[in-house]
Amino acid sequence: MKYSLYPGCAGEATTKEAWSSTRKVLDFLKVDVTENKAYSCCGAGIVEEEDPEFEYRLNARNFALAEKEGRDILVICNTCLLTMLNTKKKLTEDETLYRQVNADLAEIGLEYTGKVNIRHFLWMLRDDIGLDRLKALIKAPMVNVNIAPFYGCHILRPSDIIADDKAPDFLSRLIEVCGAQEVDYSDKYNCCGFHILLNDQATSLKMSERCLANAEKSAADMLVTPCTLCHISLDGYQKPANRNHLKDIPILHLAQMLGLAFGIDPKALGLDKHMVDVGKALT
Amino acid sequence: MRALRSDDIAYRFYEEIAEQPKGEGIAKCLSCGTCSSTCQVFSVNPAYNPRKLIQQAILGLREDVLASEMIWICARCNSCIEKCPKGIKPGDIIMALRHIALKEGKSDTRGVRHALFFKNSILRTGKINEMLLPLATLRLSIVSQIPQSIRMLFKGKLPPIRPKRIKGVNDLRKLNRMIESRK
Repeated sequence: MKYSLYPGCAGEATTKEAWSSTRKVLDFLKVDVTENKAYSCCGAGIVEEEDPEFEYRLNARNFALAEKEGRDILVICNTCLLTMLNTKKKLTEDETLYRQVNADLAEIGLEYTGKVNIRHFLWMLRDDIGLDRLKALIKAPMVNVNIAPFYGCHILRPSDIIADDKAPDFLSRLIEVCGAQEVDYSDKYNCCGFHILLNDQATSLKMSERCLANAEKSAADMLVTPCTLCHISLDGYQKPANRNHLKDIPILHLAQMLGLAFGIDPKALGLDKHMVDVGKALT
Repeated sequence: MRALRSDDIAYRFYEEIAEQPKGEGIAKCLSCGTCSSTCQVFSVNPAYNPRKLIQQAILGLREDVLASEMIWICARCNSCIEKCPKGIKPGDIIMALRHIALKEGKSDTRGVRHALFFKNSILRTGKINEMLLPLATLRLSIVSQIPQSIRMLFKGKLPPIRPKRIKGVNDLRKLNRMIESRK
């Protein structure tokens, strides 16, 4: 498969290490992937609240850019995933909208045909690479580390847009492939509270704190997430959330966990960029 | 709580909501409360109660609901959408309420400022300016974020003050002008 990597706003600003480690792992896996400096923000479902027509065109333009290159879009942010799939569904179901959007895109020299697929990095690992191939590439198994999976809402729900497993276990399988111990706990499909981090920070931090506390109770040494926004809540804001004096729980982005197990240098994976020190949990 | 007067009630408010994108399910609500019992925000902060918000909207308390900070506290986890026995998508109804509140532009809550920042920022550079978003949302309460910002600064995690413009930002403005001209 040929992909165009969509970094998302967080991947270009506060969680650059998620983006750079994904690049490293994609290169390691020899995935055919390019970048495109013309991609705009997806609108995050928030532009849709104000001006749905604009959000649909933002995404349709990005889709058309990927189609022009004959590539599928690869995302590392769950909200980018849901937002793009939401627009794609609208354009598939509403023919008037599809025609209008394409008439507007024609004015900027683009066309959206519907051919492009929107794929999450986690899904790409599962569907294109597979556990067997990944297993064969592990050089530095993460023995004696307990890792709890944290999926993030927008790769799970709502069902009518995310046509994928509602209770996936692929992240757990990846944890095992990396040689670590998978931690089962109550919050793997729960919400990190990211989307109200600014609107109501106290509530948002209570939500992330609950996930971290339950992971800790289940003896997790660290969490792994496939989403850059969950990463911001769980790692970036763990210090202010941690009012019950839990121990620090490092948060790995999915690509960082794989990269470590592939034997890629931790610094090249951006592990020194985290707010919660990862080193301690690995030694 | 203040006493209600009959002129507080917008009798057709639920119809107005049903006409918004994502608002169509509201008339089917039984007020069973499954949305609140599955709500991940409600479970840590019961002041945010989707059942109550939707019930107030059905009752026609238009101005109260639209000015409320509460409609901006949904974390969009979509748990209620999965569990609603009537298939109403309660979270989407909250989004429809946000849409009306933004169109009317009467309230100036954190949530309103946060939402309005997105399109503005995208029209400027094509991306969200993550440095200015907290400032635009929180205004003076930004001082509460100083310890966090210092921690981020030391880790090199502060976003750029002026993010790079995407290639073709003028195309986004052109698309927006085409939308505006049809409104």
